[in-house]
Amino acid sequence: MRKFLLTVAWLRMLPSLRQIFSSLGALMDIGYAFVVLTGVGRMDLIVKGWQDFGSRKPVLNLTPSPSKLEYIFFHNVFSQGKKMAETDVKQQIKDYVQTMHEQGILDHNFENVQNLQCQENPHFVLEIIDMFCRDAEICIAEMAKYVDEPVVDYAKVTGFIHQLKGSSSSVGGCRIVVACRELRKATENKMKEGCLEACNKIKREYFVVRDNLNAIAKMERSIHTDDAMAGIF
Amino acid sequence: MAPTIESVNQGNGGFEGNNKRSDRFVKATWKNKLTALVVDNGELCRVLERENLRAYGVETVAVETGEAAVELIASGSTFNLIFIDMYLPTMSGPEAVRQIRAMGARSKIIGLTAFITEKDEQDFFAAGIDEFFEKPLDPDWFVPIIREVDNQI
Repeated sequence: MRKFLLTVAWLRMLPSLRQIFSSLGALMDIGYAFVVLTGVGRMDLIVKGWQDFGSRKPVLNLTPSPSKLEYIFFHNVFSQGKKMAETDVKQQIKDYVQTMHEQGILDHNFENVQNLQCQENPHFVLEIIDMFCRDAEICIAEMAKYVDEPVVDYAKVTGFIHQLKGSSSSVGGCRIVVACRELRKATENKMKEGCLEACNKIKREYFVVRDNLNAIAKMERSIHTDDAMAGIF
Repeated sequence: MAPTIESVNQGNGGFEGNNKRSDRFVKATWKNKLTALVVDNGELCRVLERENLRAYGVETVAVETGEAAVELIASGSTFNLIFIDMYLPTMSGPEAVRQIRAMGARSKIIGLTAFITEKDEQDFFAAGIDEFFEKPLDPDWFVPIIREVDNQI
């Protein structure tokens, strides 16, 4: 842990040297890095504080209370680490989505959803995934209910197919879309057996998409919590 | 009470798309301030349609039903574009479009559906839509429509 902190202190010095004449904060970093490297600072106590913030937001657990220099150093290093973790997770999500493309589970429409996420709405992808799963499960349950009845209300089933197909295509769930087309055809031909088979296929495809979207959602959530930081330490 | 939408202004400098997302979206620059109404009872589709249009700089309102859309237009709100789903609860998409056109609305109306069928296409065009597309909204087809509307103002 000490070696890591020393390494980070050195790394922090490099950009600080470039900003030496323009940033008081950078001067403080250099000053504090000198203190840390020469062992003049409260190294033992800072290590304790570092370990403490792995699970919660950073709290500098020092007695007496941290000086401004200590706080600034601590905060800067934490921010650097957090940015590094966030970049890693974003790349993981990108790679994961690419894999989903290659397997034909998601199409380009999911990337359109991701592109709509912005600073004003950083949780947009999470919200859409939640919305999709909630709506899809309702549609699938209702379709299954109507198809299961002795006399199938094909008009009702068609309404839910439209809804599910619309939402699935909007998030890139292309396999569910294909299954919906099959069910639509079966309802047009008023074939109960065909409807039952297609309903089961929709369920299977939905579970695949849902599990993969939930994996993406988990990664998205980690960007927004301190979990990303805990992974580094 | 239905919201009041400002009428379109003939701007001088152009209205830019939401360039907070400009690293991924083509930066949309329109000559006019454009407004759109989205009518879709599916929450996810409605949200995505609204956000897609907003991302391209179109001030967008979204409602759930045909009745809400008709009420909004009847209250005096005007929109350059209306995106309306075929299958809506109680008042269908075609019926809502008929009522909107009967009120004299000259908006460009784009019908949307999950599955395009010949019958649905005929019904919807007969009601008064200008274009008919399968969901979801795709910039490849809706951006040229926005551009066309912007050029016509």
